[in-house]
Amino acid sequence: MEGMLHNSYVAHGYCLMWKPWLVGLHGLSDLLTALAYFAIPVAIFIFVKRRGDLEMKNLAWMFVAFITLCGLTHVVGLITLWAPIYETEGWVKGATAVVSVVTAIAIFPLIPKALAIPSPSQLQLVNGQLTDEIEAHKRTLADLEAARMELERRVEERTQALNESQTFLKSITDIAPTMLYVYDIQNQRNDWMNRNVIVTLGYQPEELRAMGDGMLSSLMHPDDFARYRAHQENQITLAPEETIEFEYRLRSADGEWIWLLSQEMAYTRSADGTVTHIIGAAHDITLRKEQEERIHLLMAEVNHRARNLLTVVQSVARQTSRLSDPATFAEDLSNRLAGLAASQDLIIQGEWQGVRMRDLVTSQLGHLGDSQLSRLVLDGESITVSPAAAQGIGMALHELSTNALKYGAFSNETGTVHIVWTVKMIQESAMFIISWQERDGPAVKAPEKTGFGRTVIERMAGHAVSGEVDLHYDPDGLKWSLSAPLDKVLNRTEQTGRS
Amino acid sequence: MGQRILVVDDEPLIAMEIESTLSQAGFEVAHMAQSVETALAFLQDGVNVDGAVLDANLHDASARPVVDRLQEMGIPLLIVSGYSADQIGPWAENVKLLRKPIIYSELIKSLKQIATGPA
Repeated sequence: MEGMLHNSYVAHGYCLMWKPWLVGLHGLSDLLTALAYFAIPVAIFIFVKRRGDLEMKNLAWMFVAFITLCGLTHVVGLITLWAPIYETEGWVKGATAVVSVVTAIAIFPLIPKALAIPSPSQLQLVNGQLTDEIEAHKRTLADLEAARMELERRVEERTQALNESQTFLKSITDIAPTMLYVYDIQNQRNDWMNRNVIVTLGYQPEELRAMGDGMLSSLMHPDDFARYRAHQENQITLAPEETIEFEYRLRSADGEWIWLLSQEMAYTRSADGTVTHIIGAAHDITLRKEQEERIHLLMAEVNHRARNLLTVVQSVARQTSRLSDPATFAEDLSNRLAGLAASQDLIIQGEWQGVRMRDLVTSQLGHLGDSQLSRLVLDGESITVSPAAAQGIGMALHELSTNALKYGAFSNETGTVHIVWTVKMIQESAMFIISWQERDGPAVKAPEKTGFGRTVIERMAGHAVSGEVDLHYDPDGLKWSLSAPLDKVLNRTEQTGRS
Repeated sequence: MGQRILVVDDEPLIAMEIESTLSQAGFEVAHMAQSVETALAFLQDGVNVDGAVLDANLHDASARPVVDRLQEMGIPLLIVSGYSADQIGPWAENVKLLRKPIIYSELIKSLKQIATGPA
């Protein structure tokens, strides 16, 4: 203690009058405070080192320096209890003051930044919120997944329904006995067609595609293609639900013309309403057209035959009228027309193909009574003659029978008539021969005037079959025979031809 | 002596009536044929005929060969047919056609016209 007195200052304990408890209190307090002040920077140092990402590290180092210096002032304060090193203490305090002030100055601007650093509780709150959000996201994802699965199921259902619908449509269009198509008016080509188009026309789809916009012009009949231009004008102005028809011919792959009847509707339109595509159904009406043509020809042929028959009637009437008084004329004409009609019946029955000789004879003698028929003998082979021969021979038989009834074998009670027909080879030619022979009738004498009946018997029948007639008024009975080349009598094969 | 006429018709009754009517009108029927072949057989070179009346089809065959032969020989002719001109065909276009049934006054008039012509 003495040694301390040689300085100009006195120890601080002196000020405390060296009361042991007071010196002890000060000394112990300074010591503990200093130790604590030294421990805190160590803790800060360790913390800062371990938290490499810590913001405001410089502030931490300032705190380390400031607290260490505070601790140092307390050490110096402890020493000054016994050694009066106040100058040292002053310098230490000064240094502490400088560092403290700098730290204090530095700390204020850093307050906003420090505040921005979230506190753990805040972080925990945020963390909690985030966890909730993640959970919500997970639930949403699960919902989305379920929705996606449902959507996929529906898409699959729809796809299947669509496939079924397409199969159904394709089956219907495949089986349809009609050509179906969608036609692009502007590009002049078919966008779609069904199987029947291929079947009916005989072209492969690639062949049709290769024709491009020239398809219709190269396949359609030139006469119809001219009309098609006007039809196309109707196509582009089609109203909804409106249908139009068109009849035309297309050349099939085998070169035949096929008649078609198309029914068409608008399928798609441009913005201004003009029809751009039509959908159509084309029916093969070739058979109908052929039938129409046949009917047309048949009607013309019927007209021709009617005119011909009228001309025959005209001839019969004109010839009957010669050498006849009006009453006889009416009677004779009626009988002759009846005979013609009977032959006509047989010709129609034979469909203009031929008449059986026995039927012809029977029909022309039908007007005779039972007495006469019982005295008639028919003897002939089965032979079918042409319609022209039937008409000529039939008329001759009619005139012979009416003559026999008036003057010949059928005018008494005992006379007989033999009708014989046969085919004979005469000088290497087949000849058809038919004869009419009367017996046991009244005495025969040749008529004085030549009427229509005689003309028919003598000339017309021969003319009809390019044959020769023999007519003899023998006293015991009239004899008539006709011989003609067989091929002039027989049915010709080409009865339906026309010039 | 009347002008000599060839009558060609496959229907004997009609041919005979034409013959009767022409005879009464002062013509002479030179021959009556009922087929293409008999008509052509008659139309030999040098045959004496002034005109012809013929049906357009004979036993379902066209009478065209007969018409051709007549025109070749310069013999005027008339066609008498149940067919109309367009049914017969273009070969008969330049030939006078009368339809059946026959209006005989017209037949006589037409025949007089053609048979007394320059030919």
